[in-house]
Amino acid sequence: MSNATDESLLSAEFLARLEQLELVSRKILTGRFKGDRLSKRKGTSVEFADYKNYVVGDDLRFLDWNLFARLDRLFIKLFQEEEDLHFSILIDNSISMDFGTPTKLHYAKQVAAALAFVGLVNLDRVALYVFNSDIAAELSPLRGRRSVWRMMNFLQDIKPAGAGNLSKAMKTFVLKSSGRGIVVLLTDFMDKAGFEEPLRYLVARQMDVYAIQILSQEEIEPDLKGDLRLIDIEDNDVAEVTVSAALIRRYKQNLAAFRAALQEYCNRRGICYIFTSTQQPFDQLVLTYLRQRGLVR
Amino acid sequence: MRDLRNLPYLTVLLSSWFALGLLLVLLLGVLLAGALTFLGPWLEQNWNLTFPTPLPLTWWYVFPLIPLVLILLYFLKLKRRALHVPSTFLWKKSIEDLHVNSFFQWLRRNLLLILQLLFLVGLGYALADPTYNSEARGRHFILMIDNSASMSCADGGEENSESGTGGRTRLEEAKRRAHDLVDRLDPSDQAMVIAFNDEARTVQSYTNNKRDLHAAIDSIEPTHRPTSLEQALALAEGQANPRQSGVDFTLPQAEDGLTAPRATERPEGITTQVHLFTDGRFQDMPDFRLGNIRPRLEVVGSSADNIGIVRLSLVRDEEEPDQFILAVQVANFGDEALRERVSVQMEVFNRQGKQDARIEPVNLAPRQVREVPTATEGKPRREETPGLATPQPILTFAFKDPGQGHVRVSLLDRKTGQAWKDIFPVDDVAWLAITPVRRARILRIGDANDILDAALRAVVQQQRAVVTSLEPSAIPNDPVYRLSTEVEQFDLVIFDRCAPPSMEMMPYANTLFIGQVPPLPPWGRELWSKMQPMDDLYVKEFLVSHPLMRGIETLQGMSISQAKALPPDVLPPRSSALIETQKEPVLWALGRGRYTDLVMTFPLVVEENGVKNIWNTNWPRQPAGTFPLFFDNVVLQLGRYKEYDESVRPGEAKPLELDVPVRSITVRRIDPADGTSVEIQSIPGRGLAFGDTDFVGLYEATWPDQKYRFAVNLFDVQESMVEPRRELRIGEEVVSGEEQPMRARRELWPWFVLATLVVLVVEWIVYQRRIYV
Repeated sequence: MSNATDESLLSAEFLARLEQLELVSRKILTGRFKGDRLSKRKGTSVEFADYKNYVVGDDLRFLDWNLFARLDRLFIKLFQEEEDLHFSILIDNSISMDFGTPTKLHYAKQVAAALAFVGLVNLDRVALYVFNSDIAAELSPLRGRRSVWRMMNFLQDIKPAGAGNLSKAMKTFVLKSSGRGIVVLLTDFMDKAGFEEPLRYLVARQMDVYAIQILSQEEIEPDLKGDLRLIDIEDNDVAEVTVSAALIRRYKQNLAAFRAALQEYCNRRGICYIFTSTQQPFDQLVLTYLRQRGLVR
Repeated sequence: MRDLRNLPYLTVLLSSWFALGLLLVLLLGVLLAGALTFLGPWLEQNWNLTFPTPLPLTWWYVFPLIPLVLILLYFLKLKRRALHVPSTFLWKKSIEDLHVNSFFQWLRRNLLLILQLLFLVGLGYALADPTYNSEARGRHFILMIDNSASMSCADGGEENSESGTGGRTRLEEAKRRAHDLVDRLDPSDQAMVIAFNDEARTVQSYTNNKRDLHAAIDSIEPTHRPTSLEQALALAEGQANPRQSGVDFTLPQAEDGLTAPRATERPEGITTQVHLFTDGRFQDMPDFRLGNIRPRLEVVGSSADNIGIVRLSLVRDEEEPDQFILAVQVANFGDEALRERVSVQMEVFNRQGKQDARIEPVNLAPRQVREVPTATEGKPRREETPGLATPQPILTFAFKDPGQGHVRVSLLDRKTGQAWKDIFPVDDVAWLAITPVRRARILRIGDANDILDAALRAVVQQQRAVVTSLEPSAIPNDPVYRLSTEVEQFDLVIFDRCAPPSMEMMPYANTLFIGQVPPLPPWGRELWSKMQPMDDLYVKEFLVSHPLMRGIETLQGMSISQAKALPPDVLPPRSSALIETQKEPVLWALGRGRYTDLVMTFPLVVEENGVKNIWNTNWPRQPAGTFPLFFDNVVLQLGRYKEYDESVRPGEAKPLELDVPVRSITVRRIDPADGTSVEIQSIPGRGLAFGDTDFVGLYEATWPDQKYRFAVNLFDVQESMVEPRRELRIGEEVVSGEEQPMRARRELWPWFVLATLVVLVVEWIVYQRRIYV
């Protein structure tokens, strides 16, 4: 893991390819600043949206004088507001993420860097959150290309720490972030408390949630033999196993069931669930899978 | 299996199977502990099982701890390897899932435990070295195989075979049993093989190589030699105690010296089992000290039915000198009287072929067995006397002198006229070689002497001697005489009134001095003149027992005109007076090395007033021809003339005395002919002897221009008495021939090691299946 942080998270060629991408939200979201995107809010852009009856107090500048001439009634022209996108990336840095080659955390950081880069280039408001038992660190929303180095530095500095508590972290995040927008959750979902509650927090705020589950190869295809005392790296919970073919089989079945349950939960709530292994090239993930799933365009 | 698991009874069975397995392990462990302690004697007594474990007992106290530690390990699961995982979340779930139906999982784990316990118990058994009917490891065996004459008896078959004359000989049976014994030896046992008859030979020294032992046993060939255990036992004892430092002189010495204790029973002595494969036909050895030797008699043979020729002798017929009289003694060693069953055939062969043949029927009494009570021993001694021919114990045959030839005497079946058949054919035929082997080579030195000349003429005429005559002046420089002083050119040199100048010039031969004496120290040549003359002597007595006087019954009336007395101070150590007169002895036999100087201190004839050949004694005119008889004896004994050749016994060396020096002699057996011939090289200065006389028969020695026959006959009552002895005494011990089959010592630990290996393999498979299946 230590080596992974030293490497630059993103290569120059990859960045060049990322520049052509932009983040897409399936929902029309509101932003604080006027940005490149159409907002649900009616505003001052040139894109016409609708008319409404004039009521006292409305801005007279938006009266449609042509219509008043024809119909002798006062209508206010409504314009679609163009605004920026709230793009939050949540990175799980609990110790359990410090596993695999490359580590899950490193992989998560790479994905986060790529997505954040895309967001910054497209003048979205990109916020980064690092969490384990709670939100551990955050990078206040950044905009514009010149913030890329700050985002990179922030990512580089993330170290694995603490036991994970997804639920609490999500709760805190939801309370902190007022605006809606795209939320990308990078975690392994290996939380004994379950995944339902944290996802519910996000869904409740009508965020456009992308749940990316990252697992290492060791978790997907465990290569264990003999009589083992498995120690949970986070809570020191012990599981004594005598590894047998049946046990391995059972483990894989359980993993598949777990993934299936997660997927189903996400699908039902409009969350986009993406499963990836650290063995899968992350650029491929960003350039291919996320594109297919509509996160980037 | 998965489906079977649903069957409740099978599950119960399987679960109880685990308990049974544990119980089995426990039982085996307790049994092992018992075998090593209190059960040991019982197992040895009833099951012939012993546990001579090489481990010290203290190790065994520690050994049970190992399974306990193993079980403890299982319970404490100390051996689980700790491994950090990102989350035990899924693992716990999986374990919980499996626990729901983890019977097989559980069973597998415990199967491993049982297998490991079994492995340990098996290892314990292997280490305990269970041995079936074991004695001490590395025993020493000596296999003594009798290959004497009686072992040629053809009754070596099974003890209860009907005829008793199975095709197998006793030796073959002995070898078979010896092979059996070798097969049953433990690899750690050492054995050696000794073949013995009247002498013993180590065929194979100590080895544990069974192939060598088998080969050694196979190499033992039958002989017709007599039996003596003494040498074999001495050899066995010498080999049995290789670490023995020597005779223990603190042991009491036996009085006669011959039976001195040889063995010392030292602590380091090696206990040796001596297996005697024999028919027991030899003398007891009550004085032998067994020491570490544990003898066991393996008696072969069963029958006693044998008749044989036990003696042949030949004498010249007194009345008709051209006739020989052959005396034959036949004995019956069986219990059955043989009436009108046997006849004795005598065949005389001369140079041309068969000269005469005679068949004489004979009736034979059965043998007599008496129990002689003995004072010292508790058991009466068994005394056997062979039955002789009735009514005449000795058969005689008269036949004409064949000159050179031989006599063959054989036993015939009277019914068939064929050769007699019994189990022991060796003594059914005997031979006698009639060979004037060599005529006496006589050198006569002296002037004319009527009496001596007449006597010598008669001897020459009878083909008994070759006489060379020399004048007295020939001493000492004549080449013939000189030769006689350098090599054994003559058998007898007669000095008639003359003598060599010194003892150094005495010939290598027996001598007869007539009217003279050898130049004995201290007077030497002067001796004769120093001697006291005597006149008018008559013979008072003579040495009847002396061979030179054989046949002479009286010398009464013999008188001597003049004689001299040999002073006692010149007499050599071995001297005997043969004829004594009223004054002094006149005939002396004086020893000189291996020769005899016969000294007649009176001349036969004297010269008086120019008249020669005046008789000085009336001996030649004595009645009953005592002088020719005496002269015959001289030629026979001193001239070493032989009328016929005494047969030798198997194994004895036959000296071959030749007229002419030869380089080599070829000897072969001509009756029964076996085609093989032996060449003997002559070694200068030594007499030739033929030692390869292991078999009876008529042998012929051939050297350039001459042939010479001699006979080898058994003539051994002990060997002919073929009934095997069931027990014999060696030292303090009565060695019996009871069947005591030697049970094999079989070490069982390799089987336990094999079993543990199998368990190990099964365990490995089970362990592997746990992971990959």
